Amino acid sequence: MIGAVKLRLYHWLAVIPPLGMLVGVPLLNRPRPLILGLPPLMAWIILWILVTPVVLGVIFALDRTNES
Amino acid sequence: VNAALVIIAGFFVVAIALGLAARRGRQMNLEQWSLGGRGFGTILVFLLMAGEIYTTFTFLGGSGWAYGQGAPAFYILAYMLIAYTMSYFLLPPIWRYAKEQRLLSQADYFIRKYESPSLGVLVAVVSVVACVPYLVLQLKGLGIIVSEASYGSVAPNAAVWAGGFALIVFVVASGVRGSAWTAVLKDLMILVAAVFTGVYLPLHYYGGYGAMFAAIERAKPGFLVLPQKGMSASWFISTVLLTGFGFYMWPHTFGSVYTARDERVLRKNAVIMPLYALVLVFVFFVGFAAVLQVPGLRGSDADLSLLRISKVTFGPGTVGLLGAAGVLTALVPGSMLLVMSTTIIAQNIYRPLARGADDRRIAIVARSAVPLVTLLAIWLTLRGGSAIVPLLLMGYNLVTQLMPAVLLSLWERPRASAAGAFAGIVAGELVVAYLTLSGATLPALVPWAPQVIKDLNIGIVALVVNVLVLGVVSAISRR
Repeated sequence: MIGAVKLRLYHWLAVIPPLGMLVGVPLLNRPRPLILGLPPLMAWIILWILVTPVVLGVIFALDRTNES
Repeated sequence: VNAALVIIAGFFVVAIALGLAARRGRQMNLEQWSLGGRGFGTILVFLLMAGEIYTTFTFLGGSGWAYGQGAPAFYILAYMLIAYTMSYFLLPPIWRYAKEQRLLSQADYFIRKYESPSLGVLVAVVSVVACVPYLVLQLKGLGIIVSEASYGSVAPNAAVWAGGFALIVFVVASGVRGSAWTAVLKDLMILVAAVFTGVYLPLHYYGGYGAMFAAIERAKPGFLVLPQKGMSASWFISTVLLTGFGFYMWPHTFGSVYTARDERVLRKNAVIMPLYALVLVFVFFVGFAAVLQVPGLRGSDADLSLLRISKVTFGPGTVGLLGAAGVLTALVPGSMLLVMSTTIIAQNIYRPLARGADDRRIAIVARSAVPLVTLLAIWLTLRGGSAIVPLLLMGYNLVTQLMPAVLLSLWERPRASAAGAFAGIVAGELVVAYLTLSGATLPALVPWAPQVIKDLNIGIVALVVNVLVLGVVSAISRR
């Protein structure tokens, strides 16, 4: 229960982008190879920032609290 | 008089006019002035929230960090992912409670949720102490931007006075509505300015992003990775978490949640905000482009990198437009900070002292406090010195200490007692103050610890103390 709203299973999808991004930080902390011209760490963070609205969008679509 | 100055002055006037026009057709009562009558839809809430991330810190500091620090700058991008993801779950319950209880400020939330007026006073004091340095930083940034972009024809001090005056005029008249309307112009400008310079400069000087980063890596090996010690991966992760958690605890950010018309607006914003954060990528590109083109800016001068490389590259017209965008990044957050800090002064510090004051009276006090707080901020800005930087760092850590008590309050009944929340916040704030003022570092405090621990953001220490005290006192006081 958070604020009288039950957390449902699909809400937990939201932990994927923060976790995915942070876990990769030590692994992608290297100068090469440039990915689409960007340092690997920068490209990695941008990738997860692009994934975040997709994940949150799916949650939003499933979220029945948004009806009414 | 040069073209740049004319353009900056023009936008200044337009910004004030927009801020004043925002009040049209509205009765400016307290709820309207502080919270826009709780009637903002997705777009206005989006603009307010964007107003909080694209401040002079992001505009000058984002490029400045990329220029001066390299890879560690990416933390600014990464923490937004945490903040927005969290906002999907955190903001709707806060909004619902604020709407139901007709709350005006963040301190009000603590008072009602924990049924403790003294907790409210504590939070109010923390809020105001944290907001003032943040406001000073905006004014200081404004002074630098105007004086640089006008090729030195306006002294920074004169620009600070002009900026302060503009803030007083439209904040007193229109409150948060003025912030939102000015934000329309600001976000258009910053979007165009960031994307244009971030695309143009790397192409112009290097022929592309890959070539630019390859050139930087050759000239400064290791600049594009986090170092092994200091701002290492461990520093990065702890800073991202800490900053992401603290983000919505800023009183003006917390308060902007109340302006939403319904809770759907907040969820929608959580979905789209991360995309807007990508504008920062272009700001970084500018800072990186400047590394090899305008070398030699040291320390806090790194913040000038964006304007310096623009002056080398473009004519006065373009520089003026960039300067105008920069001025707006100071005015919008500055106005929000003013509205919220004065609302808190009136609602949570004045009201308990003057028993029986009605809403009209509170509204008058809040608006009268605007020139006073602005003058204080101008005075602190002009007094200058580097004293403001530790204050700002402290500000972020100060507001972050409110987070555990907010998280535990999301249930129907808070999971901590009022005494626990109070003690935890006090303990956390004392640790923050001690660590900041003494300049303590983790390597000095725990020289025996492994590097991973030594590199953690020291703000974690305060948060840990806070949570421990909160837990222990809650457990005792519950019985």
